Amino acid sequence: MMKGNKRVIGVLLVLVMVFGLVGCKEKEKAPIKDTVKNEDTNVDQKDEFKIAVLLPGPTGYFVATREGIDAAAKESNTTIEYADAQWDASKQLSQAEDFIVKGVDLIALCCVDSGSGEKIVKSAKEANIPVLAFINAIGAEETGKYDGLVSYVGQNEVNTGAVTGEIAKKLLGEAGGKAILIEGVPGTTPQINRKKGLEQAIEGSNIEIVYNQTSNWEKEQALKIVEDLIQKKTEFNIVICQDDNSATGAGQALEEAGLKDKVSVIGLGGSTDGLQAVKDGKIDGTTYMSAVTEGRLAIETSVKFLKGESVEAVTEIKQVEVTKDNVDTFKGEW
Amino acid sequence: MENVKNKMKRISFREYGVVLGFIALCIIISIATPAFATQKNIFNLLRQSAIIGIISAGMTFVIISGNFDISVGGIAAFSGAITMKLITSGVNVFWAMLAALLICGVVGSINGFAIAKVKIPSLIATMAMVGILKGAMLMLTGGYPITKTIPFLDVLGNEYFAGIPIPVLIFAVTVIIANLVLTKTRFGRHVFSVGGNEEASKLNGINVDAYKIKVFIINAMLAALAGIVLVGRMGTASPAAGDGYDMDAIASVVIGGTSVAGGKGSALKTVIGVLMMSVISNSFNLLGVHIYFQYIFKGLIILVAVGMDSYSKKNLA
Repeated sequence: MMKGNKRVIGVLLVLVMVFGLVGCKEKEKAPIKDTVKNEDTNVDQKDEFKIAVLLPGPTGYFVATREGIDAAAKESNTTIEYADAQWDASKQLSQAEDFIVKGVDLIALCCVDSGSGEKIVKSAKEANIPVLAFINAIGAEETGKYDGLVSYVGQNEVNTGAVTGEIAKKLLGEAGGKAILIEGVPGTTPQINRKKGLEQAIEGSNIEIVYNQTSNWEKEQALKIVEDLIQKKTEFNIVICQDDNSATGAGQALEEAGLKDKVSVIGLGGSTDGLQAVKDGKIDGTTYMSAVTEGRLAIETSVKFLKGESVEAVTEIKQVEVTKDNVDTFKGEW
Repeated sequence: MENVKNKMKRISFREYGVVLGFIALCIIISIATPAFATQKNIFNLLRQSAIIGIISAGMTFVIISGNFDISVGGIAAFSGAITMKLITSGVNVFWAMLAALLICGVVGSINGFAIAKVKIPSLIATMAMVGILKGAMLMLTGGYPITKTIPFLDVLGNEYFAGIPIPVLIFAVTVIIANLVLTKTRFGRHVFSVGGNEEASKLNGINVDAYKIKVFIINAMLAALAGIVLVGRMGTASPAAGDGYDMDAIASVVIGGTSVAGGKGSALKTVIGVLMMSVISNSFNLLGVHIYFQYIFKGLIILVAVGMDSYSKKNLA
C-alpha cells in the first residue's frame, strides 16, 4: 500500500514537472488574440471568422436558433463551434475558458444565468476576445444592454411580458377580471422581467393578479396548478402564462374541468404546440417571434462587428400578439 | 516462480494501469491539439477540477469505508446557499463560511447516523438527504439564486497565489491532508478496516459505527468547502448547483482505483481519476467534440475502470 502511494506521488511529481516545463515554454507564445477589429491598424482584415456559440441547454428552442445560425454562417463563410452547457453555469464557464484558450474570433453567448454570463464576458475581455450576447440577456438592464458586449440580440423580456398583458386586456375588455399568473423558473431574467412587463401593461386596468405560482416552464406543473385551483374553487377569469407549454397545460386542465369557455388562457413564445393550441381554441392567445431569425441576426451582427463595421448595442426582436384571428400567419419553429 | 511473476504483473497493471493510461491520454491529446499543453489551459483544467476534486477527496473516505454518498452535490449547493444568504444578511464572510461548514457537518452526521445506527443503506439514506437539502435550500433562498460579488470569495474562486489558482491550492492541500490521514494515522487505518471487513473490525474493538459517522461528517464538510469555492468562482449561489457532482465524484474515485467494495483505495489515486475526467472534458471542448459524446465516453471509462477492478478480483478470489 505505502509503496504504491510513493510511486503514485512520484508519477504525479513528474507530471507536474512536465506540465510546468511545457507551460513555461508555451508562455512565450501564448495564443493571445491581438486582432483589433474596430481600430485602424495594419492588421489584415480577415474574411473568414471562427465563432464559438455557447448554448445553455438542450431545449427545442435552440434547434431553431441553430438553423438561423448555420444559415447565416454559411452565407458569411464563418465557422461555428457549438457548446451545450446542459443548464450548468459552471460547465458553461469552463466551456468559455476552453474556447478562449483555443482561440476564437468571437464568442456568441446565450448564458445559463446572468451572473455566470458576466463572468464569461470578463474572462473573454482579459483575453481580448469579443462577446455577443443573444437570447438571454446579461446584466440588469431590461433592454439587454451590457457594457463590454459587442451587442445584445434578442427580445426585451419586459416588452414581451407587456404583450401578454395587452392580449389579456383585449380578451377581458373593460370589465377586466381576476388573473392567475403562471411563471417560469424563479429568479431567471425571463421570469422576473416578463412579470414586470405584464404588471406594467395591466396597471390601471381592471385586471387583477390574484395568484401566482411557478410551473418552471413545464406543462405538467402548470396543469397541476390549475387543477388544484379549480379544486379549491378559486375564482378567476384568465390564466396568463410565461410560456406556451404552461399555457397548453393550463388549457388542458380547464378543458377537463369543463371550464374552458369561462376562462381564457394566454401563452408566450409561439411554439409549434402553442400556435396549434390557439388554432384549436385550447388557448386564446400567445406571442410570436422567430427563433431562427434571432440566431441568424446574432451571427450577422457578429460578422459585421468582426469586419470592422459598427453595430448597435442592442438589436431588439419584438414579440407580436397572436390570437385566433391571425394565428394562421405564423409558422411554429420549435 | 511463475506464480509470483504473474501475480506481480497483474497487480502492477491494476495499480498503475490508470496512471499509465492517464499519461498516455495526455500525450495523445497534446499531439492532437496544441492548445492543450499551454500554461493557461493547464491552469484552467486544474481549476475546473478543483471543486470536484475536493468533493472526491471526501468521497474517497466514504467509499473506502464501504459506503456511498450521493448527497454531496446537494450539500455543496446548500453550503453555497447558506454562505451567500448569511453574507447578504450582513454576516461577516468568515463566520458565514464557518457556519456553512458546521451546518453541513451536522448534515453529514445525520447521514452517518442514518446509515450506521438505523442501518439504512447508504445509497438510500443519502438519496433521501438530497430531497431534504433541496427543500431546505428552496426555503432558504425562496427559489431564487443569490448573486453578489463578495471580494474575498471572488478572490478565493478566481485568483492566484504563488502563481497557482487558489482553488487548485485548496484542492492540493485537501488531498495531501486526506492522504496523510488515510495512510499515516490510526484513524485512516481503521477506516480501511471498517470498509474491508466490518465484522472483523468490530471483533477487534473498533467502534465501527463511530467511524462511519465520522467519515460522513468529513465528506460533508469537504463538500461544503467545495460549495464555498464554487460560489466564489461563480459569484452566485444557485439552487440548481451541484447537479451531477455526486456521480462525477464517485466516478473519479473509482477510476482512480479505489474499490467500490471498500477496504482499499487512495486519495492520491483519486486525483488521477479527477484529472482524467477533467482532461476528457477539456480536450473534448478543445477538439470540438459534442458534449453528448463526453457522457458516453465517461460512462464507458467508469465501466472499464471498475470492470478491470472487479474482474481481476474475481480471478484472485
